[in-house]
Amino acid sequence: MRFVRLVVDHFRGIEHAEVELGRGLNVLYGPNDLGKSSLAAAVRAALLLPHTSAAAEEHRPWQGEYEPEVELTFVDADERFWRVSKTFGSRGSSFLESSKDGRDFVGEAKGREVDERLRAMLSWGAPPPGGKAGVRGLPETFLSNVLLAEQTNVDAILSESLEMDSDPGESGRLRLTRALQGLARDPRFKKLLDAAEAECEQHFSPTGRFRRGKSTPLFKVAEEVKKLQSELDAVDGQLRLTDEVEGRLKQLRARVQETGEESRAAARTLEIARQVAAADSALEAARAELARIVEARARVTEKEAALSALAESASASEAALATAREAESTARSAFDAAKDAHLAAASQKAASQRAVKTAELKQALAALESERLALDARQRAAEQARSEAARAAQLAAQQKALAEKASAARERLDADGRALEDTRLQREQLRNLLAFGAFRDAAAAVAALETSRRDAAAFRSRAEDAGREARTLRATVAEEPLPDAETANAIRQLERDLEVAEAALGGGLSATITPLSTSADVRVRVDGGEEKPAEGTVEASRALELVIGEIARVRILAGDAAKRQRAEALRARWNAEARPVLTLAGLTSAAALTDARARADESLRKADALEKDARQLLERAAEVEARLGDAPKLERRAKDLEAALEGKDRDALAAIVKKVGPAWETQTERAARTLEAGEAAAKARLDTARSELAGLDGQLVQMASTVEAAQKEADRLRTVLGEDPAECLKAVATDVAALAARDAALRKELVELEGAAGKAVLAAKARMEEAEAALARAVAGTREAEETVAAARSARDQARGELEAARAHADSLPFARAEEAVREREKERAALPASVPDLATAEAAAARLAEEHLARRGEFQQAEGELIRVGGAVARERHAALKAGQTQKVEEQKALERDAAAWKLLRDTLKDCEAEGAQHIGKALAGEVAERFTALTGSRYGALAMDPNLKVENIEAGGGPRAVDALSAGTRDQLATLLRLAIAERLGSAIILDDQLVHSDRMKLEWFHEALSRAATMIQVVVLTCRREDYESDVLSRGRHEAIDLTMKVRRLG
Amino acid sequence: MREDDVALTFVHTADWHLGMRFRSFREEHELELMRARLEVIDRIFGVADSSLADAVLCAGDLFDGPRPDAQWSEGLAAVLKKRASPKRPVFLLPGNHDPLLTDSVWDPASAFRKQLPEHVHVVDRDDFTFTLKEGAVLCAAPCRSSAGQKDLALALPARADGDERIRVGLVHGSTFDLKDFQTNFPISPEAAVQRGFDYLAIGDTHGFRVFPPLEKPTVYPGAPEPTSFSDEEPGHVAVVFISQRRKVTVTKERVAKWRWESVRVESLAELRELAARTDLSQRVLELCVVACLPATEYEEAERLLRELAGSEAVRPKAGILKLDRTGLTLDTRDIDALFADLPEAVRATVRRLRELEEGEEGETARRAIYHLYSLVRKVA
Repeated sequence: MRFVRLVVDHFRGIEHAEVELGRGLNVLYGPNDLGKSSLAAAVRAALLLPHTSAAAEEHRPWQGEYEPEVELTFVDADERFWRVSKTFGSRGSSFLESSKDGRDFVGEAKGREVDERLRAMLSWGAPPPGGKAGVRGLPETFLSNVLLAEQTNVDAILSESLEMDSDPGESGRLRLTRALQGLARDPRFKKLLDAAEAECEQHFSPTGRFRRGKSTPLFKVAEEVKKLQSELDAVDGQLRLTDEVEGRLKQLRARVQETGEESRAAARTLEIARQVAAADSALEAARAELARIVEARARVTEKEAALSALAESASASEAALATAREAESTARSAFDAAKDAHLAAASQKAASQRAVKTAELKQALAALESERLALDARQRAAEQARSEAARAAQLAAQQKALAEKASAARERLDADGRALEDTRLQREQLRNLLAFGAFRDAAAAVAALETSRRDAAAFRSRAEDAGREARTLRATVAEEPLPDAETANAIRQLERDLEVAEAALGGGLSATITPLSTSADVRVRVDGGEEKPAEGTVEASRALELVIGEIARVRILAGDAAKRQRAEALRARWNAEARPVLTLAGLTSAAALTDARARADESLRKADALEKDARQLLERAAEVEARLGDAPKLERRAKDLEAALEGKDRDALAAIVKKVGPAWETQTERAARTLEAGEAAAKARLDTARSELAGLDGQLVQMASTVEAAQKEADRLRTVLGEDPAECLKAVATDVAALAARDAALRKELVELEGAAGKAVLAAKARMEEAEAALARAVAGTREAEETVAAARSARDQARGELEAARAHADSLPFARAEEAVREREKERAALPASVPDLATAEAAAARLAEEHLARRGEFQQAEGELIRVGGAVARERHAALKAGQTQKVEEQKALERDAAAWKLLRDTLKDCEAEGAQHIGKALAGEVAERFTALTGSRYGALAMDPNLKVENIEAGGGPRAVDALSAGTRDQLATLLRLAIAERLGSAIILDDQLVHSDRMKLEWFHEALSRAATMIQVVVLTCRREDYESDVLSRGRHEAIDLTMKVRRLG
Repeated sequence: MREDDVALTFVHTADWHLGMRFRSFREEHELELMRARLEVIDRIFGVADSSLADAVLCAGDLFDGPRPDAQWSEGLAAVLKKRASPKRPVFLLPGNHDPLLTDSVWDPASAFRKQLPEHVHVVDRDDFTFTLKEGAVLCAAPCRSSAGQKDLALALPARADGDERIRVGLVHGSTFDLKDFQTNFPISPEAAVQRGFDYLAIGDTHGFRVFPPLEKPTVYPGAPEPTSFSDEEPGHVAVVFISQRRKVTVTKERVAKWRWESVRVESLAELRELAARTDLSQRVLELCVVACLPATEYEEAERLLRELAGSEAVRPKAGILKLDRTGLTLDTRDIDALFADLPEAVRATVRRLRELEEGEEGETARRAIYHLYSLVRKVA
C-alpha cells in the first residue's frame, strides 16, 4: 500500500490541507505546530476511525462549528486506487471508492461498510466495527502502531506485541506470518510447493473440495460409477426376482415330479385294477360258460337216467297193459254180457269222448311247460341286454360331462387368447407412444443442437472480434517506442533527482546585458532553457549561459561546487539516458513518459483481457462444438424414429401425450411394464389352459373308446335279442302270465273231466254196472295201463327227444375250449396282483392325483412365465457384468481420489512444515533487526530476543541480555524505527515516521539515510519533521525522494 | 477322410453377442472390444470360404439383447449382404439373450430382417427344417424367451424309420453340466442320440466344448471373440465334415483377434519380464501387481506400467490393459537418504508423512512420499 493524496478540512488546527505523495521517501517538513501530527492523525482516522465514533471529537476544529473531513487516496498491492472520504460527527458520512487509473472512481461502499472493507483490506488486526469484538474508538493494533505510530509514542512499539490485537480472525498475525514465510522460502522448496499446489489445483477447488467439473477425470469416472450403479440398481431387482423365482421353480419342479410320480403310480394302479376287473370278469364269464356246458351235460345224463326209468316204466306199463287188456277182455266178456243186457240202457260214446278230452288236455299242459322254459331263457337274455345298455348309457353320460368340461376349458382358452391379443395391441399402442416420445425428444435435441451450432459460431465470431481488437491494441503499443515501466520510473526518478539537485543550487542569478553595438549578437539561455536574444536584466535561478556572437560562450552557475557537480552529473545522465528515450518516444518529460507508459500498459492489460475473453469464447465454442459431435447420430436417430412412426397417427399420439401431461413417459413405461407383466401372466394362464385342455382331450378320446365298446356290446346283445330288451321283458312277463292262466284252466278242465262218471243203467245196471264197473275197471285198468303206456311211451319219447336235444345241445357246446378258457383266465388273473383297490377307488385316486399334478404343472408354468419376464440366466449374466464394471470403476475412482488426496496431503504437509519454521515470527524478524542494529551501533549491541508475538524481550549488550528499558531514549527510538521499517518492508506497506529519530546524532542519522534510502526502493516512507536538514543528504537525494514544504500545503485555522 | 467322401461341410458358430458392453474397461477400449465382435464375423466367413462349407450355422446369442442398437444390427446385415452366398445359406438362431420376441431384431417386420438376403434364414419357427443339400437336413428351434425349461433339442423331430439322411440339429441352451441349466433351456446329453441327429449344433457357453458320443457329437463352438478372462478356449468356430457314411469330423478353427490373459506379478523382475514380451499387442491383459518396492524400483515399475498402458502420445505395449495396482506399494524404509540435501521443511515433510504411514492414511501418505520423490527428481 502507498498513499497518493491526502485532503483534510477542519481537522483539529487545520482549516485545509492538500498533500500529494510520491513513491519512495516523502519528507514533509514544516515548523512546529503547523499540523504535521494532525495530518498523521487524519490518515489514521481515515483508515481506522468510524465517522460516528465519539473519539472523533478530539479531531473537531479548534474554531468554528465545522465537522472534520478527511479524504485519503491510496493504492493497494494490486495497484488499484482507493479513495476513502469521511466526514466525522453524528451527521457525518463515509464513502469508499475505487479506480483503475486514479482518475475515474466508482463507489464501493458507504457508511459502516466502509470501515468493514478497509479493515479487511488492511488486515492490521483490527476487528470489524460493531459486534462484541468491535472497538468503539480508534482501534489500536500492533500493525497500526507500527505503520502509523503517533509522535508521542515513537518507541512504544518496543513494549507492544500482536497480543494487543482484538481481531478474532488474527488478521494481523496471519498477514505478518504469510509475509515472513514468503521471504523465508528456499527456492527449491518453493518449486516443490508450487508444483504440489499446481497438482492440487487440478483436483481441488479453493475451498478444498474435489473438483468435479465436467472436464476433470474424477467427474468422468464418478459419472460412470453413478451410471453403472443406477443400471445395477435396476438389474438388482431382476436378479432378486430371478433367484426367488428359480428357488420357487426348484421347489415346484420337485413337487411336479412328485405329483407326476404319484399320478403315474395311481394310473398304473388304475390300469392294474382295470386289468384285474377285466380278468375277474373274463374268468367269471369263462366259468359261467363252463358251468353252463357242465350243466347241459348233466342234463343229458339226467335225461338218460330219466329215459331209462321211463323205458322201464313203459315196459312195466306195457306188461300191466297186457294184464289189463286180459282183465279187460275178461271184464269185457263179462261186460259184453252185461252190456248186452245193458245195451239198451247205456252207450259207451261219452266215456270215449272224455278219454280223448283228457289226453288232449295233458298234451296241452306239456306244450305249456316247453313255452315256459323258452320264456325263461328269453327273459335272461333281455335282462343282460338291458344291463349292458344301461352301462353304455352311464359311460356316455360321463363322456358328455367330460366333453362339457373340455368345451368350458376351450372357451377359457379362447378368452385368454383374446385377452392376450388385447394386451399385445395395447403394448403396441404404448410402444408407438414411447417411439413418438423418443422422436419428440430427439427432434427437440436436434433443434437444441442447431441452437448450439449457432451459439458456437457466435462465440467464434466474438472471439475473432476480441482477438482482432487485442492485436490492434498490441500493434498500437508496439508501434510506440516506449521503454518498459522500470525504465520509465527510473527516468521519472532521474527527472525528480535532477529537479531536486538543480533546485538545491538555488540562490538565483541576475545579469544585466547591455550590447555595446547594435551589431553585437548576444543571446542568453536561462536555466537550461531555449536560447533567446539577450537585452536588459535576465533572472535565473541556477544557471545562466551567455553567447556573445562567435566570440565567447559564458556559463554562470549558482550554488556551491559540490551541488553543482551533482546537478551536472544528473544533467549528464539525463542527456545520456533519458533524453534519447524521450526523443525516440516523441515526448518531452518524464511525466508524459510515465503517462504514456501507463496508457500503453493499460492497453496491454486491455489486450490481455480481450485475449482472455477470446480464449474463453473459443473454449466455450469448443465445448459447444464438442457437444455437436453427437449431432449426426442424434439427427439420424430422429430420422429413424420419424421413419418408425410412418403410418402412425402422430396427432393422436401427441394428443395422448398432451392429455396425460408431463408424466406421460413414466406413466407409459409403467403401463408398458404392467402390460408386460399382464402379458406374461396371460401367457402362463394360456399355457395352463392348453395343458388342461390337452389332458381333457386325452381323457375324452379314452372315454369315447370305452363308450363305443360298451355300446357295441349292448348293440350286439340287442341284435341277438331281436327287439328292445325292456319291451321283450314286458312281453315275456305277459306271456308268462297268460301261460299260467292257460295252465290253470287246463288243469281245472282236466280235474273236472276226470271227476265225471257214466250213468248206470237201471236194472241191469247193477250187473252191467258191476260188469261194466269191472269192465270199466278193467278197461280203466287197460286204459290206465294204455294211458300209462302211452304216457310212459310219450314220456319216454319225450325224454328221448329231450335227451337227443340235450345231447345235441351238450355236444354243440365247446367244453374243452371252455375248460381251456377258464384255465387261461385263471392264469391271467394269477399273473395280476391278488390285492388291488377296487376300480372305483382306483379311478377316483387316479383322477384326483392327475388333477393335482395338472395344478402343480400350472403353477410351474406360471413360475416359468415369471422367470421369462425377469430374465433368468440373462439377467444374472448382465448383473455380473455390471457388477464387475462398477467394481472396476469404483476402484479407479478411489485410486484417483487417493492420488489427489496424496497431492493434497503432500501440499498441506509441506505448508505445515514450512509454517512451523516460520511460525515463530519473532525469530524470523529479530535476526534481521538485530543485524541492522548491530551495524548502526558499531557492534555495541548483539542479538535481539523477540517472543512469538513480536514483543521485544531483551537485547544482548555487554555480554548479556539487557532490558530495552535500560537503553537511552535515542537508542530505543532507533531500535523502534529499525523494527518498524523491517516490518513495513515485509508487508510492502507505507509507513509514517512522525518526528522519529529526533534524539539521534548526525552520524546515526546519516546511517539511517542509507536505511531509509534502501527502504524507499521497496516501500513508501512518509517522514513528518520540523527539521528538514536532518533529511538532506546525497544518499537520500539519489533515491526516490519527495521533499514537501507543508507551509505551502497546509492552511492553519485563524 | 478323403475329399470325395465328404457329404456335407458346414461352419458352426455361436455367441457373437454383438452390442455386448465391457464396463470394466475405459470407454475407448470398450468400443474397440465391441467393434471386434463385429469384425470377427468377416473372418468366420473366411473360414467358411476356405473350408468350402455348404452352410454356416449360427447357434444363438448373436446379439447381446433382443433389441440391439442399430449400429450392430445394420453392421451385421452389411457383413451378411457382403459375405453370405446363395450356394452357402446362413442360418441365424435366436438365443436366450436375443430371443424371438415380437418387435425384436428377429421380428419379420424389423429393419434388420428386411435387409437380409434371401439365403440368410432366420429360425423363426419351432418346426424349422431345411434341406441343406440332397441327403442332408437341418432341424432347428428358436428360443422364444430369455429363460425356459424346455429342452429344445428333445423338442426337435426324431429320425423317422427308414430315414437315412444326414440330420443336423440346431438349438441354443445349457447342457446338464452347466450351472442353472434347468431354467436356461436345458439340453439333455442324450438328445442327439434320442432324436437321431448326426451332429447337434448348440450355443450358449463361450468356450469350445464337444460332448460324446463322438460319432454323434453335441458341440459348443464358443464365442468367436472372448468376452471375459474366465472363458475357457474362446475365440473359435467349429468346422464340421460329415461323410457319406455319416461319419463326423469336427475341427476347431481360431478366428479371434484378441487373446484375454490374466497375469499377476510380484516383483520388479517379473514386471520387467512381462514388459519385455513381444506378444502383448493383441492381448487384453488383466495385470495385478503385488509388490513393495523402494523408490527407485517403484519409479521403474511406474515407467513400465506406463509403457504397458501407453498414452495419447505413446503406443501401448499391451493391446488393452486392465490394471490392478492396489497391491503396489512404496517401500519407505530408506527413503530419508533420498531427501538428505534438501531444505529442512522438505525433510520435515518426509518425516511427518512417514509417521502417517502406520495410520489410516498410510497408503495416501506413501503415495504422497512418492509424489514428493518424483517432484524432487523432476525439479532436479
